[in-house]
Amino acid sequence: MNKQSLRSKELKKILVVDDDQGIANVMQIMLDSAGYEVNILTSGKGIQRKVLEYLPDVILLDIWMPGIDGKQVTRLLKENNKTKHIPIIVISALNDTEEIAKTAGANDFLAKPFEMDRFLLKIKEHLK
Amino acid sequence: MKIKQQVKHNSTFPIVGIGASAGGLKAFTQLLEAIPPDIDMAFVLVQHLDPTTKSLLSETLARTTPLPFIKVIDGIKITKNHVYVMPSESYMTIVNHTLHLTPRKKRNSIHKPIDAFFQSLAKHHGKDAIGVLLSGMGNDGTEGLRTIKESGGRTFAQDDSAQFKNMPQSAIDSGSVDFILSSLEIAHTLFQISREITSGNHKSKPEGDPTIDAILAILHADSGMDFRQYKQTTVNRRIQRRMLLNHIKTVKDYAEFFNNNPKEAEALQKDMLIHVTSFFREPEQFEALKTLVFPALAKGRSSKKPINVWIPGCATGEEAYSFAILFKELFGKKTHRIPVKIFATDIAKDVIAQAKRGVYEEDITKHVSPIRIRQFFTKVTGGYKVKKSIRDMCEFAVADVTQKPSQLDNDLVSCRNLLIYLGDSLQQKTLFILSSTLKPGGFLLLGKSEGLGASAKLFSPLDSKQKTYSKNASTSATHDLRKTINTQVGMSTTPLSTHTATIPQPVDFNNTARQQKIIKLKEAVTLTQEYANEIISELDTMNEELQSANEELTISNEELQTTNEELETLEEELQTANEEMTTLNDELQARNEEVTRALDYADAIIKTVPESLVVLDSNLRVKSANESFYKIFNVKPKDTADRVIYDLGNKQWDIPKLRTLLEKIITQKNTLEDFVVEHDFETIGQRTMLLNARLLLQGPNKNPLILLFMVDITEQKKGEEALKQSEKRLRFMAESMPQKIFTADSKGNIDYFNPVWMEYTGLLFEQIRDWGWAQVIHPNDVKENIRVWKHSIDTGEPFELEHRFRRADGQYHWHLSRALPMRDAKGNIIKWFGSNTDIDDQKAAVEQKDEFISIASHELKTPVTTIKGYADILAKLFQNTNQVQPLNYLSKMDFQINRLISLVNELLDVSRIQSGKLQLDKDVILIDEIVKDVIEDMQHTSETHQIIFENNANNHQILVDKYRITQVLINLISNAIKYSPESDKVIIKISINNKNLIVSVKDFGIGISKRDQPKVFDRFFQAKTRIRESAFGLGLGLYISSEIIKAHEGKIWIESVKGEGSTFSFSLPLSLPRR
Repeated sequence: MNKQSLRSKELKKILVVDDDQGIANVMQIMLDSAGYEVNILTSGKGIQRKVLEYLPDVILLDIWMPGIDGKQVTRLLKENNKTKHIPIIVISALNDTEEIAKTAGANDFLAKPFEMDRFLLKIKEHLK
Repeated sequence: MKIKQQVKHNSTFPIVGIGASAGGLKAFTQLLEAIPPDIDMAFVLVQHLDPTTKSLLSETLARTTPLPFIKVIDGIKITKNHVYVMPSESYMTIVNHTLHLTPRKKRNSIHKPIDAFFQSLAKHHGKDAIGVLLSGMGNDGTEGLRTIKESGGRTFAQDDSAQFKNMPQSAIDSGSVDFILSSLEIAHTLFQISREITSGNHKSKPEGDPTIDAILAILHADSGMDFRQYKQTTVNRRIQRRMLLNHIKTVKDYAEFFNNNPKEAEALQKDMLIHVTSFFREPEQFEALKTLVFPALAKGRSSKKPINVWIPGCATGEEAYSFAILFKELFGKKTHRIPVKIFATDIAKDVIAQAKRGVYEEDITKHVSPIRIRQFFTKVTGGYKVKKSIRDMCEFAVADVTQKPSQLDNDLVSCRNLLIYLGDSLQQKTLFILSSTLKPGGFLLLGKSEGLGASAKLFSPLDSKQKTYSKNASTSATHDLRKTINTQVGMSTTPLSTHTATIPQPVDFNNTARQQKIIKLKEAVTLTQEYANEIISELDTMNEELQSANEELTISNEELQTTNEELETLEEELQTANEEMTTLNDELQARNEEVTRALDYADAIIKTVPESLVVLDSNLRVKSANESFYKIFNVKPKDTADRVIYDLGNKQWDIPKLRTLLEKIITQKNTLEDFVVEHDFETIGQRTMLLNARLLLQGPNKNPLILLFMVDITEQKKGEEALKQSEKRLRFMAESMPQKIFTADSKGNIDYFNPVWMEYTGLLFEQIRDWGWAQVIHPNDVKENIRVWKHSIDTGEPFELEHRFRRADGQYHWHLSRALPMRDAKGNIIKWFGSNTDIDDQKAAVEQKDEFISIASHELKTPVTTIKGYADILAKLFQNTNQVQPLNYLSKMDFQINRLISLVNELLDVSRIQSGKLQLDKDVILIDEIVKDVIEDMQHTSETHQIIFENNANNHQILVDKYRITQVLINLISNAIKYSPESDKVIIKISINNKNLIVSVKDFGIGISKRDQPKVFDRFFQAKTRIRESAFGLGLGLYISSEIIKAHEGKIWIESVKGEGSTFSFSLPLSLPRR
């Protein structure tokens, strides 16, 4: 087995759920540069099916989204035995992001705007 | 005995002796009020000399009862359905229904008239005696009740309702009270007793009834005490007593009552046991102990072998202690002390407990000499306690002597006045038990009227008069009289009955004559034998009869003994009465002086009161008037004296309505209350007068007089009118206002709502008045509303609350309600005035503003996140090249982005603070660690300043919101750096001062003028800087910091000198101790 294929096999998968395309793009660039495989969803619609298909290692989740919001998404995923082990990091521009993350049952939170270094460090913490 | 006989032939009725002292008047009055006039009992009240009960004899008392009320004079014979009252300061006794009075003798000695009377009542009226002890101080009556109970009478004591509990409680504690009741209940019980007596069913005798045996069997099973072998008469008397006390007529009924009342078993058992004892009782016996018994015991005894003494039936322990004292006196001083162990037992637990305590009442001095008191007792409150050296010689235990021995190897057993209560067979069994515990030659002491009976052979008398015996060496209990007699007539020891039936066969006789002589002799012997037999059986019978007669006498003896003791007390107390009389005289004199003083006093008052007072006779002529009357009506005494009131001052008093009213007073004995007269008086003009009049019947002829009081209320009337006017104006104002207005009385009942209220709620005043408004409050607010309103009513604090009211259409509107109390001149609240303002629109506006700011900040932050993200990505890219310039630009961009972020955050914080939504999420943290973290972060971003940390508060825990305190620290440090561009350091200091943590940030910059210092924590204040561009933000930082510190219950302040620098400090309360 060569080094390259070994590496690609180990590539960690991050699912970004954010309705703001600009922020989603920024996060994609940052995550690419850190060597993650990234998949972006711009709404929480059909999230359960998509998570089960993709099986990400970490989910980055916005709160305020049209249709189904981040709190509901968290609850759905945490109530499902097949998805509840996947760490969810709530990333929001709301004032009470921490509170929302705690009550919804997410694993961690990050307030927008954020520093790139902090953003990457937070994801790394949940990949161990 | 003679007296008793006479009493029996008289028509008997119960005599209720009532003892009362301090506070007893009330109880006595209550008792008498409830007694019907045909109760068929006589009541005799014995009062105690006490200043507060002197009024017992007053006429008011006589009015409380329909029974004739008689003040006792010496020699008066009592009849039923009368109340007799003993004059104070005397002693009273009763003999054969006749009351005798003797004056109190000596002063300074204990006056116990209740005891004296009760004891004579018990002695001469036995079962007819009823003793009642009401409120009072001291312990008079306790002894008396005991005697009444002992002689078969009934005893009552007032329960906790007594104003002074000492006197009844003392009797209750002594255990001689049958009924512990309130005075009213005592009256009811007396009535019940009287009805039972009249129905005449109390004569039934329980004697020989098998039901009694059943009761005693149950009692035995319950308590382990077997009274079946106690003397029948004693048992019957005791049971009869219990029947009387419980108003039970037949033994059968009693048995049923006994079975259904578990407490009755205990009561009966207690009544069965009689505890009569005293120190050195029967001194002659003690003399015999001293001269005969004790020396014999001590003789040749080594100190290793203690003298064992057993005292069964020791009651409250006086006998055991008397023995110990006597031993101590005899042997205590000798060099070789002889150890003595006195073991005393009794069947009753409570008396043993009392014996162990060794505390006795003061009257033991009657039996114990002063020398003995000094040597062997210590004075305690209300009595004497036996010294430890004596107590150590005695040991007490609960045991039944009739069942088994308690201590073996005794040198002396003293069992006095116990056998008298036992039946014959039990007496013999007990004597056998006693003898079995004695060493050979050991001594037995019995009561003066007790004897050995059939057990005589077990002992030899030492001093038969003093009932002192010593145990025979070789006696055994089976060795009886018959055996002795048989031996004496020279016959075999086989039972006599067999000998009378078969004559022994002749053996080896030659001479017929001799033989015949022998046969004759034999016949003679047989005859003698039969004769002897008869004598023996007769002797047996006689012995038994003598025995029982003896015992009957013994009990009478005990009773006489008690009576004797009582007589002694009585005599002593009589001695004290004389001097008490003298005191009474003195007191009467003093009372006279008091009356004179009181009259002067009343005169002075009438003269000076501002109200006018006129006294009229029955013809409405002026008898007298006070100063105020003459002054107000401008008349002189000589113009008014003896003139009809209507004629006064040109007939100005001739008012028709007053005429009818005054005449009614005389004819219908009316009073005139608050009669208002508006009249144009000739001397003083138009006046409003308030008249009060009452009838007074004076002197022995009850001459009617009218007291007429007049008050000029003209001014008051005017004031009232003015008040009404102003109230009208206020009402008008309230009703024309668009706001909701209400008033409430001092208890919080709403008594007025203005029309706007009714309009808004669509309800009627009647529906919402008082507390009816609660129905229009939003269900979520109503509980808090009532709580806050009640709090204001209770404390008088102003009421203020935001809550929702239901409009007529069912919609709820937010209102701000306020109410303030109006007080009178004394500061008492007389009314509450309140308003309710509809603030629904403001409320909605505030909520909208909050929501808007929340959305705005989210929408602002979203693009900033993207911009900041790209700036970070770009910086990462340029870091890998060597291009310095782009990195420089990027860092400037980052700085501006951060400014933007902090502006948004500040605006959000201010919005939160203003709507009261600044919430703290407190944790216990170490303050110096937080400060260190902040300094480290800040030092990274500052290239111009060195941040110095002076830590004087190591390891102090504090409960704060870490995020918010960090925010304050960053704000203060960044301000310090910002406003000191020409300096190069900032000093952070933390210290502890008086349970507060103090953090200060000191800079050496431009400083703030004294004028501006108070404003620095205001919103939008900003220091003027020379370098305009270095100041950023909206000036909200210090305002937010100050609000955060205030929310932590801390303080923030500034010290500054213009041009030298500033120190910003804040303090936080230290709620937790140093770790």
